[in-house]
Amino acid sequence: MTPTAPDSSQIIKGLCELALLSLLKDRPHYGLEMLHILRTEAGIDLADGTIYPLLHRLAKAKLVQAEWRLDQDGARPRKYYALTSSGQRELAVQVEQWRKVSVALSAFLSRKHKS
Amino acid sequence: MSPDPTSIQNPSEIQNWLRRFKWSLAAIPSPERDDIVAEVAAHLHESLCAGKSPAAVLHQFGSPENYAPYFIDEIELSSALSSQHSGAMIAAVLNRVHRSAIAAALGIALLFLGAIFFTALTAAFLKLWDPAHVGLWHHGRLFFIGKIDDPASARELLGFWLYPCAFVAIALSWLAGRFVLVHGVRSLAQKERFTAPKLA
Repeated sequence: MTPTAPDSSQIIKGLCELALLSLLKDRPHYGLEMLHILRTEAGIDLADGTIYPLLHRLAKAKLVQAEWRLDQDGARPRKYYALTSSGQRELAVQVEQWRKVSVALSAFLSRKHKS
Repeated sequence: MSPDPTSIQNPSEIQNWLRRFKWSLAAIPSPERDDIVAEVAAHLHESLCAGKSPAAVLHQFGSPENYAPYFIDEIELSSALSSQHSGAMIAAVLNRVHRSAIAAALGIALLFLGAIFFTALTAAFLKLWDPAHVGLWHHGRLFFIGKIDDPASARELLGFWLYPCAFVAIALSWLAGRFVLVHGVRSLAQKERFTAPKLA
């Protein structure tokens, strides 16, 4: 997949927080794994480095909590992120906001011009 | 507890990048800084293990000097907001004046309120030392507050009412300054929250 062009990617990047919170709703994930899922399932092709300041910001806001764990082989340390109860509430709010904006924008974009 | 990033065997390019990244994060307290570096080091190591070249891996992060401020800015704002210290909040605003319209507007508003605060404070103090020459003066079409050499050349309007007026001006400018500062820094944090880093 070709990384998104810089100009159009700003729209997608603004939605990263929502996508990350939604991703963590099911189970904890680590950074590289989240990037892979965002790319393959959400079509959000972020540069690798983009995700850590976002995760750091979410952790500072106590929307997610982080924990170091070793992988199954015990060879690699990975920092896993899980959604907190505040994060779940924030996700619900952001999903609702996104749905309202999405419906309104879709209606606007598909409007018919009056002749 | 974060792992020690130097314990992971990485090529020298990666080690150099991580070293520069850690230096660039010097403004962040040690445990938090080490944790950020360890997480990025683990990511770089795992990407290398997946078969990517060091150059390709580092391209995804940009230069360490450009990457580090994304973490520093966030910590500066959240620390300032949580402490509610005026000094920390003013520093956070001043550090953004050259790159944020909100911060620039905040800076101008704070400068204006600060000028009122210090003018009132200075006038009240000077009035204590030299009550005959200090006050709110009216001369012709001009009003000014401060000290004049010849009190007979202008009319003083406040007299000792200058003290309560100065007190009110100091209190109101302080309260307005705090209000503008707290809400302004919150706006900055909200704006930066929705501005994702531009990398690669």
